[in-house]
Amino acid sequence: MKYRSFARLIVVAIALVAAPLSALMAHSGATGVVKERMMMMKDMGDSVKALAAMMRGETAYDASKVKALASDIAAQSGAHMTEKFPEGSIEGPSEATPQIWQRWQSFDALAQQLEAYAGALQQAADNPRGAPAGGASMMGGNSMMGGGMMQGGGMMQGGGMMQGGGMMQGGGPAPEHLASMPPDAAFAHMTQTCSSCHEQFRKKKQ
Amino acid sequence: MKSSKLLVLASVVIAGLSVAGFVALPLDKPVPRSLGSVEGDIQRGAYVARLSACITCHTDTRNGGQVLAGGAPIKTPFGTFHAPNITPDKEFGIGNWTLEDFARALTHGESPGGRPYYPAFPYAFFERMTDRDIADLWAAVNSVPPVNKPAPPHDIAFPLSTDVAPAVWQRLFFAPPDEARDGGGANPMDRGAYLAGGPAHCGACHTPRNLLGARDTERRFAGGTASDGEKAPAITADALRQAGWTKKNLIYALRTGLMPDGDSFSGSMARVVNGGTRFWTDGDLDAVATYLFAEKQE
Repeated sequence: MKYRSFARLIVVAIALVAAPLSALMAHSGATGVVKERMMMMKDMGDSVKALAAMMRGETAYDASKVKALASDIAAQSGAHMTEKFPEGSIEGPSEATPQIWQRWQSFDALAQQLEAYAGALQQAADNPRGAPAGGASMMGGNSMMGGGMMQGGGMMQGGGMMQGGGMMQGGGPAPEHLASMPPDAAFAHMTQTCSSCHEQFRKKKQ
Repeated sequence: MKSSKLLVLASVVIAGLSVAGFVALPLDKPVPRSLGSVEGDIQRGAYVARLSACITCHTDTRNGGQVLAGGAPIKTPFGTFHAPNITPDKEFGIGNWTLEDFARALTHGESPGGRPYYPAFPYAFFERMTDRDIADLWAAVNSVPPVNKPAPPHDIAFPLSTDVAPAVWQRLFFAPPDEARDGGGANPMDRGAYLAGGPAHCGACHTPRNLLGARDTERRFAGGTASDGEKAPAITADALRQAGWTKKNLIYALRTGLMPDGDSFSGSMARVVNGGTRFWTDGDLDAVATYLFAEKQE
C-alpha cells in the first residue's frame, strides 16, 4: 500500500510538470445580439418559473396569468428566437454551441415547436387540471418503467424517444393534442422542448 | 559519448521494466463475483439501465444511433472516447459474453479477455452495484436487438492508447472495497448513498479529478467536469443550498429538467435527466435528494 501511494505521488507530480498551461479565457460582457438573446432567455426563464409555481400548486392557479405568460413565451420563440442566432455568434459569455449552425434544421424545429407548444398551453389554460404536485403524470416519474417505453419484446425497442435525436424532434405530440391536455401536462411538454434544445445546443461554461 | 548513449538506453530499459513490473503487480481488487445462479428480470433491468444511464452513453441518440449500439464521442483531456456497442451482437457487441463476463466488466473494469478498460467507463462506481442489479441489467441488455456494426474506435494518442495506460491507472487509483453490497433497501439515506455512489455515478462528473483523471475523493461532489470541458457544479449539501436548491426543487428538477430559476438543464445534465432520472421512481428521487442534502454522508 505504501508503494502504491508513493507511485501515485510520483506519477501525479510528473503529470503536473508536463501538463500544458491552460489558456486564460477572457470573460467579456455580453454585447449585441448575444446580450439580446440572453435577456430574452432570462425573461422566458422567469415566465417558466412563475408557471412552474402555479403548476406545482405553490401559488394559486390563475388561468389568465397562465395565458399571459404562455403568450410571452410564444412571442419569444420560433422565428423570434432563431433570428437572434446569426451564424457563429458564440462570443463572450454565450453558452450557445456551434452545433446550432451545423444542425440548424433541428435547432429551428425546436424553436418552432416551443412557439407551437406555448400557444397550445394558452389554449389548455382553462382545461381541468391534473395532479397538482410534481407533474409526474407526463414525465413518467411515477411508473417504474417510464410509461411503457421499455415494454414489448425487450428494452427500449423502437420506442420513439430513444431514436432519432431525442424525444421532441418531431416526435412530440401535436400542438392540437397538447391544447386538449390538462395545463400541467401541456406545461411539462413545453418545458421538455426547452430541455431538449438546451441538451443539444447549450453548454454551461461555469 | 558512447557511454552516455548507453546510459540513456539503460534508463529507458529500466523505466520500461519498472512500468512492466508495476503493471504485473497483483491488484488488490476483490475476487470476481459469481453470479451464475441469479436469474435476471428484464423489466427490472430496464429500470436499472435508467438508474445507471447506460443508454445515455452507449447510444448515439443525436445521430439516430440504435439503442446501446455505441455512443456519441466523450471528449476528455486524454482523448475522445466512444462507448462501445453493447448490444447482443456476436461480432461487434457483447453477444458472446456470459453474465460473469458482464459482472467482471462492470465491477472490475476488465474485458472477458482481461484487458483493462479506461476509467471513462465508470466501473469505479458500478463496482458497488448489487448482484441483483447486475443480473437484471444483463437480462435487459440482452433484450435489445443486436446491431452488427462496430462503434467508432477511441481516438487517443500514444502512449495512452495502449493497454498499459489504463492498467497503470487501475493500479494507482482503482481499489474497490471488498465488502458486502446491498441496494440500500427502504431507508432513503442508504438507498440514496447506493444510487449516488453506485449506479447513478454522480461523482463521475461532479467530483473534481486530478491530472490523471482520478477523482479527488477528499473533495467529493465539490464540482468537476463533464464531456468536452463542460462544467459540472458542486453538489455538496452546502453548495446546493447556496445555489437555491431544496430537496423538493431538486426532485422536481431531476424529474422534469427544470431548475428553480425557471431555466432548464443543459448539455450532459439534460441528457442525464432525459435518459435517466426522468424515469426514476418517486422513492428513488427522494432517496438521492435526501442523501445529497444530508449533513453527514456515508
